[in-house]
Amino acid sequence: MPCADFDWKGFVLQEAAPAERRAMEEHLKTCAACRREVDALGLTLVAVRQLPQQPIPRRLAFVSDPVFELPWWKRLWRMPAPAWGFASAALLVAAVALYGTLIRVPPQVAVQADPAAVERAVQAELERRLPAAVEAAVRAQLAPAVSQMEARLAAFEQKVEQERRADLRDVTAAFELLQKRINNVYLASAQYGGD
Amino acid sequence: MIFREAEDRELAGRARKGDLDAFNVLVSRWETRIYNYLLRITGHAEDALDLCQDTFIKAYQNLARLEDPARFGPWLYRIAHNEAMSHLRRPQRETGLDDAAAGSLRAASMAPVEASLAVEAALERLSPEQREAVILKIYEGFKFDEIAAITNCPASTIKSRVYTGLELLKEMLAPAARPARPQEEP
Repeated sequence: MPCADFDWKGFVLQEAAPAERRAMEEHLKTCAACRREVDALGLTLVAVRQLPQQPIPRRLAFVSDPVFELPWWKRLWRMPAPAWGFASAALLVAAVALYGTLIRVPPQVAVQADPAAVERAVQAELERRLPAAVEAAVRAQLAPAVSQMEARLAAFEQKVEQERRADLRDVTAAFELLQKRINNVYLASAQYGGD
Repeated sequence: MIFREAEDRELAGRARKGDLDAFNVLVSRWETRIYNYLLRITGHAEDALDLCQDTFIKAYQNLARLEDPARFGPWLYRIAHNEAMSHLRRPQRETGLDDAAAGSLRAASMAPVEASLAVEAALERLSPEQREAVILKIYEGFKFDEIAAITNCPASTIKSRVYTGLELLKEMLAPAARPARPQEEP
């Protein structure tokens, strides 16, 4: 039996660390059982390694054969950098041409920039636009309150009108009652010989 | 190995830039090793050839994902491993040959050397995981951590598989591989 302290399979498989390997080689000089184990393992390795390689029955397809053809998206992805650059440039030119054909931009008039004139123009434009803008903003802000006030005013006017009509009806009724009483007085005086 | 890695790095780098000839050279350099690796795992020449072709197609289509061109070999073995595992997980089709006929066909394609046949037979008695680990370690010469990366397994698991497989091979090949036991030293 070989000594259990040593990893002889690691030794023959060249996996032992150099220091460990030196110690194992020293041990082999004095231990016949371990030498037999190493010999047996070594012969096994030789037997496996001398297994002949079989030749390929027929050649494999080369890259130029159709079987190696990449899918289109992989071919696109693997384009070399110059091809990508050319494609990008072509795409850019096409985009610019398309833009120029389909979108008409009004011609820009070149204006000499005079800061004082620009400032005056801005000020005039401000003065022209600002009041209307302020008024519109105020109107927009006050619109709810105004409409509410108008509604309340209309309701108040309606109420006043109703009260006025009611008062008119009362006055008319009182006048008619007075008229009837006057008539009654006339009738009574006529009965008693008056004019 | 270092020279091979340097050449692989250059070839893979050129192939990534679209150099078809560079990839063709890589195919030529690796096809026999990948084919034999797949042959040992699947035990079937036609399947191994198909898987080998698929391996190189996937490698070509995914070259952009290869982080280190110098590691083209282990990366290729990882693809081959994935292809082989997918193949082994699929229901096996009928080949029209019974086991004996398939075995004799396989034996006929191997070198007619008794030792080679004994090793072939011993390898076939290992579990698929042990066989793959032994092939990658002993036959292909990868380190444990490289095999771990290829098979997506912990290195400790790979080490265990290799050690167990090596022990079994030693026992099975003992009559053929082991010389006459020397006399015990006094």
